[in-house]
Amino acid sequence: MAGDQTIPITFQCVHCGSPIPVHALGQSMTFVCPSCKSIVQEDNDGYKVLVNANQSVSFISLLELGKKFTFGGQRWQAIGFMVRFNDAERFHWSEYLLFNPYEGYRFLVESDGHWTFMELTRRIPKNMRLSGRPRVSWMGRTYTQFYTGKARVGFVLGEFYWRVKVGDTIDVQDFIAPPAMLSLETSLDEVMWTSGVYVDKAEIQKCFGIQTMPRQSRIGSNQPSSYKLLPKLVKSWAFLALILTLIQCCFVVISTNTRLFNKAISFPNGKGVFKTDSFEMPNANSNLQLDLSASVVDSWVDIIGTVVPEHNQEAAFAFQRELSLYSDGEGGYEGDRQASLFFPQMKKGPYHIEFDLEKENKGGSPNSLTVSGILNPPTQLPFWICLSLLSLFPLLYWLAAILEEKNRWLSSNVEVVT
Amino acid sequence: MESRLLCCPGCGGPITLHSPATIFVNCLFCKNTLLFDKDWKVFGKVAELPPEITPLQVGTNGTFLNEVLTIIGRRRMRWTDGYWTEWYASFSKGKGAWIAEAQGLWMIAYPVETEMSRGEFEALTVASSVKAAGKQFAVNDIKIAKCLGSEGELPVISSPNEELKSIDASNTNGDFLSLESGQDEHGKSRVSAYVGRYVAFGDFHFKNLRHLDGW
Repeated sequence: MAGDQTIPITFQCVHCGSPIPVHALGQSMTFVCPSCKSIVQEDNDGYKVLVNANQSVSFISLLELGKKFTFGGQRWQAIGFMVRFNDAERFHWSEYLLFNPYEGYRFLVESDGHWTFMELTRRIPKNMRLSGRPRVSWMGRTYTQFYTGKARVGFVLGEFYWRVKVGDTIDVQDFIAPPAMLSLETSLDEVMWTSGVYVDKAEIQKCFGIQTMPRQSRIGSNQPSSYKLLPKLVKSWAFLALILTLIQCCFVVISTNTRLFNKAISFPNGKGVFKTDSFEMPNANSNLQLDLSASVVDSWVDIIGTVVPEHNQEAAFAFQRELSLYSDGEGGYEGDRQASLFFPQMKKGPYHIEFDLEKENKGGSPNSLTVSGILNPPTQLPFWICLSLLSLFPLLYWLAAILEEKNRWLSSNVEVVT
Repeated sequence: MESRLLCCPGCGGPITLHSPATIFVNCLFCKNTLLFDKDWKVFGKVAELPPEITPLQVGTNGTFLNEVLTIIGRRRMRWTDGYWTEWYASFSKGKGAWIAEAQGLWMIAYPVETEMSRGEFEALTVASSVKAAGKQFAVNDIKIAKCLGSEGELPVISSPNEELKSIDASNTNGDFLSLESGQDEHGKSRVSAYVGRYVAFGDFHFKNLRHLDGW
């Protein structure tokens, strides 16, 4: 664009005499000489005076200062670059000042390879009185305090609309609601809130033509979660789980679920035999559930049963179960007082079951065993298997999301107040 | 907008006034500033304004909240740590408002009645709460400023080097309050209050903007 390449107005550096460009004419107050890096400010009468003759450290601006870029559908001229330090926690971050004569100023902040596009706001956030970390509410969203500390100006290049010099230190607080962020800077004579939103580094690289991007070593404070499908996944899971439950309910309702017999067999003498009445399996695919229970305490009951098809006694089959409950010596108990047996797909016809019982021969052993048979009980197992399979991926996804959030907050220096 | 013609008391040149609120105007012919106090009189000399990058100019028009406005004057202010510009806009329905351009922010503010005394004004500090036009505000900053000069017609005295104290305040709703100490046309000390909003440049739908090289 030909119109872009206007030659900027310049003035002579009061330290080395080199030309210093002025882009935001009549707005910038602080200028840095591109040659000797001296910081020059306008005094109260509009004259340029030297503030810092040299800067002891030097950093490279990733954005070419003076150049105009298109970002977010708007043209922005990069006019200032500032590196600020938190000396107590020994880290630093970069801030680029972007200018557009119509739209004003924006700040592009790069911290640990993560980028946030910020702007000054005079809409003051509301403090929220809650336990945990301090929170503020702004434009209908709740922001949680993530960082609080000092910010010392360590290095500057370009021009700024405020007075800045190396060593200026103010208090900074960051509040996050990823991908959004609020930042509060407090000095003696000003309270300044800026609001911003996380920008993907690929977009920054493309829009600002940066060759080598700084590496990201961890999740950014206001970086959106990598698990952004979580809400959708939870919704889909809930929907499918509901359908599964409804299907199961239908099965329960249509299952025959008839009690064939329910009998307490008493055997006070340590041994006993019992034969159920004859019962009918109505069709070829009938299922039978057999429930056994005895109130054993520090004793056992041994049950040998035989399921006898009355029309084909050779096909009789036996089962064996033991019910026992013993104190583990630590106040708890081991064992089971009940057992359930499931006989699927029994052939049509009349049946009976014979029991041969034996119990531990000592006091406290139960005198009776309760047996009950249920025809075509509703089966729960397939339901639980399906639900587990359905839940496995969402659960892992959710755990990974929690882990990531935990990692995010590991780099916060804000203490949780209870 | 009804305009009226004024004959410059300094040189007799014609000056078109666009706002009934105007009490201060620059004569383009004799470079005198004129003040209305019962009658138009020569007040002082026009100060040449230093160059600046701003998209507005006297004559820019636009619409704000469906009301047509025209920029009819401005004054350029300087405080210890920067500059700002106050543009005076005359609305089609007769009232006027200030459009302030400061540190890349745009504000619109309408004059409101205030009963604040000079003492109360001087006692305000950063983060003090203050009430105006039925709204609650918190002070953002306090600046001692001086006027560098003006252009066009204005409803206040805006002579070069006149010093004033300016206090900006805002609230959780994005409302804007500007309090200012100064003098009225009779030379009496007073506190003026202006209430409005922080707005985006695009909200004004400006036309006839100044051409900015490279933009």
